[in-house]
Amino acid sequence: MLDTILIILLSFFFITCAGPKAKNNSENEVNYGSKANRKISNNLNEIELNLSVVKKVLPNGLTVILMENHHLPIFSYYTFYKVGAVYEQKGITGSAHFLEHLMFKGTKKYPPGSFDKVIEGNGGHNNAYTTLDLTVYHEVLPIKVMDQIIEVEADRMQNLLLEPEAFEKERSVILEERKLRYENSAKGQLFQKMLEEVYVNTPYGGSVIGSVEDLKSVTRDQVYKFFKDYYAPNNAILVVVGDFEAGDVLNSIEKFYGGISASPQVEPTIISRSDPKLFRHQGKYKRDVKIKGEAPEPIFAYAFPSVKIGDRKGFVLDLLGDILAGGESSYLIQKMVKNEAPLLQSVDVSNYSLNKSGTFFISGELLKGKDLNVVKNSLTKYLKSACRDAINEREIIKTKNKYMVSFFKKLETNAGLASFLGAYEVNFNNTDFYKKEFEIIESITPNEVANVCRELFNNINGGLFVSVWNKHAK
Amino acid sequence: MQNRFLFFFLLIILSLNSYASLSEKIEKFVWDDLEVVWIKDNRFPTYALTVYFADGALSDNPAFMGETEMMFNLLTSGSNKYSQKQISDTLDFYGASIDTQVTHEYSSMEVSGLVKDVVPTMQMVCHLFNNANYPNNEIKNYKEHSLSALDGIVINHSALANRIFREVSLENTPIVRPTEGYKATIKKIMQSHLRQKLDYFNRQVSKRVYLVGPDTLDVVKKVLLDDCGWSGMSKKEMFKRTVEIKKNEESGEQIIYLVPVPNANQAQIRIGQFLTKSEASEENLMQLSASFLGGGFSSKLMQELRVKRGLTYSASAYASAQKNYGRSGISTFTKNETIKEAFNTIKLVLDDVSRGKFLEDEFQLVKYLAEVIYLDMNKMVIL
Repeated sequence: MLDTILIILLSFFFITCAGPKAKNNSENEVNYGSKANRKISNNLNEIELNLSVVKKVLPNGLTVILMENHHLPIFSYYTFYKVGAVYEQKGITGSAHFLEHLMFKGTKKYPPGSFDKVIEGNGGHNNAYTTLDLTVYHEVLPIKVMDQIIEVEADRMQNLLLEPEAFEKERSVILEERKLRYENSAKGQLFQKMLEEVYVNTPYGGSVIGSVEDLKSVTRDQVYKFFKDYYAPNNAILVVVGDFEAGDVLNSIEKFYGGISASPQVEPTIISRSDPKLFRHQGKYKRDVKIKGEAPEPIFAYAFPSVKIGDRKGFVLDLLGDILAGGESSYLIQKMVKNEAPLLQSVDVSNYSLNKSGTFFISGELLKGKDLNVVKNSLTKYLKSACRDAINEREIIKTKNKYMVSFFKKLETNAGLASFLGAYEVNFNNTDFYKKEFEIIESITPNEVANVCRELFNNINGGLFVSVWNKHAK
Repeated sequence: MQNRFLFFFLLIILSLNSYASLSEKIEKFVWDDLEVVWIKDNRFPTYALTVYFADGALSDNPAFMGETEMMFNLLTSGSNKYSQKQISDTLDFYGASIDTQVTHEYSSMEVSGLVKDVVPTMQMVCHLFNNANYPNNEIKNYKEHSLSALDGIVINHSALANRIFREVSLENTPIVRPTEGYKATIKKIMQSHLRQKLDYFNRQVSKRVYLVGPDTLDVVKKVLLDDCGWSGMSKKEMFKRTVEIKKNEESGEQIIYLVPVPNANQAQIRIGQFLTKSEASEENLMQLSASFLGGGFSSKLMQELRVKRGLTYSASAYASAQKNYGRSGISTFTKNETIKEAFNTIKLVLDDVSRGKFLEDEFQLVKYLAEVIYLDMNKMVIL
């Protein structure tokens, strides 16, 4: 009898504990409001997101953003360093990106190769990227290695070895990467040239990859100084999303990062780059720039000045870009790609906003045998007529629906959430800024979009037309 | 005796509970002989609906290779009721995306968007499956774009290397022909071919539907059965592609193709082979081997080529199987001056690995990575 009771009790115990169940606690899971309240609306302001974020700034300046998401027993770990090519000068261009590579080359405690073993040996994956404004490191791992990752990341924030032999090997690797992304890529050449011309005489005027001369000459000591100056807790934001208890993770972060000193170089650099005049547009527009490159048919970028992240006009330009080329029914695709006598293989519109400035550009690729001048003239004509013909209430609703889809897609994974939260924290010091963004987008009217369109295409001196073609003169 | 019964009862409950907790969010239905697999996800008001078709580019007449892919790509180009502009305007208005993928043995189409608009979106999709008529001007337009894109491959040396490698490594197999076709075959595809192909895929090819989205997605059942007319589409008598591919046995022969590209400053390297069904049958072992050779940064090729010697930015290995065949290969690139060193390094790695000259902990690391990723992906799909 006693045995029977024991077995029954044990069975209840195992029924409740067995199996690799994920917690399905909707309070701790990202979702679109409670089930009862899940009305589906066309209005962005009626979206209710359950994003519960813990934020703390440590005494050394490190900003920590944590979000519990118990959907799966994994986590994403994002480190945003607020340093990119914008902090470089002639002679050390490419250093931010070079350093991104070198961050995987080991510390005293975690020698070369051990970082990859920690990540991959635990079933995770990681990567990093560098932009004009930022360098971001990210990984996805099972939750059981959280403490180890915090320790490893904190260690490489302060104790990077930068051994000379590894430095030289990585120099060779980056020179090969440069060929892959720029020298052998017509689109890479196009984009790089466009940015150089648009941002000439501003801190954004260099390339992220760096010039060949600088890549070949930059020294280990120069890059090490760059590391010590800018890889510091007071220049970093840590975002962690996953299946953990925020209090425990915060304790661990404070334990491993708390002793790292702030860098005294960060604030003077920020101050030296805070004057908006440094970033005012000085590019010469209303002209053509032609590059001889690896494109059998011309590819182009037609660039116009735009505004920095967060400016209301930037949101209007986002909508305009989508109306112009954001789907098969969009204006330029119908006029130049899908029409009876198409001129273009493809066309795209981007409002490329940075921390201090922006550029709005139309890019495309010509179909075989089409004339570049004819294309440019047609494009200019259609951009002007778009302001009158392409913008109406239906098009605005269309872009809002697409915006809503892409918004929710970002939130499906921990990595998407971490990237989403980190971007808002970096740019606005506020992870809730998306609510403000919804308000702005909802308030934009067809008239406002049309006015910005006319301002850009009708009244100014024209854009900067950059093209790459193997038949352009060298 | 009673205790033993209870003990085994406990074990059964244990295993059932374990299984139930893993599969609780996957539901399988048969809607009037249409198989549906639904992963319930109530987190967001979005959906993804994927239709799997049990046939692909192997159904193409070799003279018109590319017709299946063209048929799917031009599905939204016009119907007996709507123009391309009207169709794309409707789909864009609902924020819907349609992505199609054609392989040799199967095809798939994913429709995604906001749940609030799934009915009108899928009604449009079903209308197209039954009424798309492939206007000639749209076909002409598509051909112009495709041919222009194919001409552009020559400047993308990586894509060019992939294309050439495909041709030489799959020679004399039915899968040597790329799913998008060749310039010569694309030019020959006519409206009648596309309409016949659509009719074939719509009415004769076996289908299964995969749904990801909230409970409210059940509205799509009526659309699939009534508007698409896909009742009975998973019955066994519906067509499913099977193919037997034999390899030309040239045991031990290694063939090297050198393709000169004027002014290239990097060399693309592709090494590999075609695998028959029996050679590709041990899928887990193949994936493990590929990861060990050229998966992440800790893989042998990345360590030897990039980390230790700085010869390349990337090196990868793959070994994958379709239903009836597989492929294995290594892909990397290096500057012209170090081609010989790169080759010697790859050879060294392959020789060492094939002789078991690697550390046990190197192997355990990759094994664990494969195991955890597999479990992780399972969990991500199921939960």
